[in-house]
Amino acid sequence: MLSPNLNDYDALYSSFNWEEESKLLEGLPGGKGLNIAHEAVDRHANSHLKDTVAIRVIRKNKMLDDYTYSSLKTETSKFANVLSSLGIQKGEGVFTLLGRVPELYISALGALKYQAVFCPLFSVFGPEPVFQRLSKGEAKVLVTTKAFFENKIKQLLDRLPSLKLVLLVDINEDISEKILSYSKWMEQVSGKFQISPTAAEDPALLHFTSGTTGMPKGALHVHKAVYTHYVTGKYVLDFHEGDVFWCTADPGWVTGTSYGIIAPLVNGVTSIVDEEEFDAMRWYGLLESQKISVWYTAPTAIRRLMRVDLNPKETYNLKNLRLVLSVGEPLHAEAVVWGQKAFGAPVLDNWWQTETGGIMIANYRSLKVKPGSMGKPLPGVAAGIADVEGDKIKIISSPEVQGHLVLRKDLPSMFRTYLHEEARYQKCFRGEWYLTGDLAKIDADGYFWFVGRADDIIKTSGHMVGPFEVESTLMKHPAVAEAAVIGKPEPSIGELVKAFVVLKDGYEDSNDMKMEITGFARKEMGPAVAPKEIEFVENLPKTRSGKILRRLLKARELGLPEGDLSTLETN
Amino acid sequence: MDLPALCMSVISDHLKANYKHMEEKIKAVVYDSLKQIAPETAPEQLGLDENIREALNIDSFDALQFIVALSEKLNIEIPEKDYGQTATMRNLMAYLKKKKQV
Repeated sequence: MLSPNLNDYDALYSSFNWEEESKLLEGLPGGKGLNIAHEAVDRHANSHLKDTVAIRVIRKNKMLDDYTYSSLKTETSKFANVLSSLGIQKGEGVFTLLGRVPELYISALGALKYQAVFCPLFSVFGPEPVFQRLSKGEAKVLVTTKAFFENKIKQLLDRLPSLKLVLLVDINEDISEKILSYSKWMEQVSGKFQISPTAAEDPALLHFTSGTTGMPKGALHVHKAVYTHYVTGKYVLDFHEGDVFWCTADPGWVTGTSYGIIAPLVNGVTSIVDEEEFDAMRWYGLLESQKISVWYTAPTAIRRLMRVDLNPKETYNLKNLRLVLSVGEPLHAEAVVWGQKAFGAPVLDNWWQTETGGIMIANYRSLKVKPGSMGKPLPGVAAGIADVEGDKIKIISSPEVQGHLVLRKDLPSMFRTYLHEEARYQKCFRGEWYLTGDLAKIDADGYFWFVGRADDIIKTSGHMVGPFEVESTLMKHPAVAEAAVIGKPEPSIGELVKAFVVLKDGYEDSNDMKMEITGFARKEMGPAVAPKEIEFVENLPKTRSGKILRRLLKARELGLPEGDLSTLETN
Repeated sequence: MDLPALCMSVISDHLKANYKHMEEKIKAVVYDSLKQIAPETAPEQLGLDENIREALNIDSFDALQFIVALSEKLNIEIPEKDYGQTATMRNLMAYLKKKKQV
């Protein structure tokens, strides 16, 4: 078996230097800066890797759409030229609302070449979450399909004054001056594009994530994030030349962009994309037929695979599979151990979040795995557990003490702001430390263990859902007087979104009403955000100042002690 | 028609009617289960070869709930392995009918 790129964790951790490591990136020719798309595509298209498959999209019908580094260079250059011909400016927002189709990957990398800010939207979102993001992100261009446009976007156009152009990938002729045919414009432009000088600190990627209060916030990342994409690809995903990598995440979430698009390409390997959704047998089949060597997936999927009554190693030829990794929520010890039996290698869990832009804490091939632990900080990353009290922060040095998981903020892929919400951004920092919002502890050997969230954010299927956005949408239903939303523990997806609803007078708390509200919520928000469970209640527990006590609802749901109720309003 | 042949024909018609009835029953359970998960949709309007999950905007958690509901209501076992055979109404009905030996 290939020896790991990281073979001595302690040695690399103590000697690691970001600038030294990044020397293996090329930089724009002529010293003109640093651009993610150059490192991911053009650099390899001009090297011996030019005919290597960069991205292989497996279509729903299992047909293969292959792009070599060389052809990806041409296609992404064309997209950059389309943006140019349409008068889009550097720094403006190019958004996608697409499934995992080639146009998504071409738009992403083409936008980065052009130095637009790329923002992927999850195609399962309903119109409301889509509106929130397009509006707050001031999207100038949206690339989508005719069906998504008809069902989700058309109704929003009046409320989106910044949105200048919509490119539809499945029409052949422009519909109007605003609604254009992607393919028609791609045909008209040259396949050559020279990337303009790009500063490492120029904005590159925008990812929306949920907060406890308020609407989703846009975490902005810069081109320098490519340092982290490169380094984590090398040391955590352990990329070697010739590897075939499959990241199962959708680019609508940060994992699907950092690791479903950028990191494998920056490291010059072949990236597999499956357009289809999870299906156990299809997935096992792909691991075999595509000769996957490194596989990055999520606990939700692993738990589903564990339900299948077969031994993958015996049923499928998985001899190429060297490494299986997981992210999204803590991977339970049983799943880690199952991986050992199923694939001959433990499933390596790692931890990071939208704001950090790339993997921050991980298990590594060469390091002893403690099942259930998120592992140790990436070389170059300083992580700690802290007591946080108002503006004060104190790093806890003794092991096994629970506290806030914090990271030293000077990291290449760390977000640089929440778009247009500087105050909200500043609130995440105490001095040199970034507060992740997660609670964790460190054991005596330096391994990090996830404990829970420090706030009310719901983590469902590895995605963050903000209770406030769900509550606000529910309140739009004419029968709803009040709503409170929590994450209810659920074994297959971590937590499910559960809503407690108080109905207005005159409305009956029947099953029909429940279905009516469920349907409304799904239509507005889509299935990834809408509540999976609704419970009618007479009233909601609140503080004296009127703030809904979601924690108390959650404690009640779990049958836990209700804690300090001194601020509770007595009903 | 002689008597035995007539009997056979009556029995066969009866069985056919029974099969038909059973098929309708299964279909009703399918539609109802989908409606519980995605009440804003009209599952009856699904095309035979349409992907159910896509057409009704059902995520993988909902899809799992749907299959679990079917197996409970129809009293059959549907292993995870077979989920790929349930993507369209045509495949799903064929699969359920086989399971129920209709």
